[in-house]
Amino acid sequence: MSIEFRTSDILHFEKYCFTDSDNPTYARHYALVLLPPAVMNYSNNLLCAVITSKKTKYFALKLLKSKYSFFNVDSYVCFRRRDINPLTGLSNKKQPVGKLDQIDIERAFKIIKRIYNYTSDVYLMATVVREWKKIL
Amino acid sequence: MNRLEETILYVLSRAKQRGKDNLSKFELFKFIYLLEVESRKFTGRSFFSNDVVFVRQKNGPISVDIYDALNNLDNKYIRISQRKKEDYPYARHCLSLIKEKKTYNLEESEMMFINSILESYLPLSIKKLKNIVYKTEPMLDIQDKEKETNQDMNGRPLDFNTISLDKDVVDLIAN
Repeated sequence: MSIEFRTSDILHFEKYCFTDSDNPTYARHYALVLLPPAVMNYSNNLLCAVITSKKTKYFALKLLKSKYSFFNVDSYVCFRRRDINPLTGLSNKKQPVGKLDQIDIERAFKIIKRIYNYTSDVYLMATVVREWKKIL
Repeated sequence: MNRLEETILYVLSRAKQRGKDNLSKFELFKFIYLLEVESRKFTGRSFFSNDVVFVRQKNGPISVDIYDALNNLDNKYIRISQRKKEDYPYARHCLSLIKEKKTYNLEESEMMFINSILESYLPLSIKKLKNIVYKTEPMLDIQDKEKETNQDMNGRPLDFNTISLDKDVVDLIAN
């Protein structure tokens, strides 16, 4: 299962783990694959950006319910959040639940380039840029 | 163990995880070369802090530093044996792991970058890999010089300063 997920897939987690704090918290969430398992050091992990229904202004990509019918409302990919999640947290839904269309992939990549300007980890930045360029 | 030796062992280990339990010397040289090229392209930095020199040879880039590293690792971590594979008419020197390191002295993100490189190039045939290597900037540069001077440049070092930063990384830095 792990190998089949790709960059820009949308997954649904029963237990999405917010790993960017000292005390990880869990919640049911949609998330966007930033780096697929094939690139991660542990093949059952993914690097994700959480998707939320809460209107998010900065470094976010709006995903329209009309285009991604599995959402109940228009939703937002929060690129400021970056979490490593195991595949074991996925829900029982058929995965991936969706995939960004080409227009949104291009929009997402523009935001990724803005946000990764702030990371000091050059090889993380390089890997994300390299993987997203493969699907542009 | 130096950074090149760590990287070679990591590449062999990752290749094994991805279903290739041995690599030919040709493949290993090209993967390490492409790692250095792509590191400069996507980060502007040498992966090996300029410590690994590649020279032009008949079949593309070769590095004495990699030969030295393989000699250091031979019979301790790796085995070098002659094998015949489907994609090439003759037997070649192949490298396989005999001892896995538990941890690597590489950053998590450096290993992810190597994984990304290997995902692109590991499935390719020798012929396709060679074509890609020949189209990299240092190889194009030395081939241009060979044409200009009508001289064989075998043994001459490849110039990694010819590699341009990826345009999206330039955008990213400019933002």
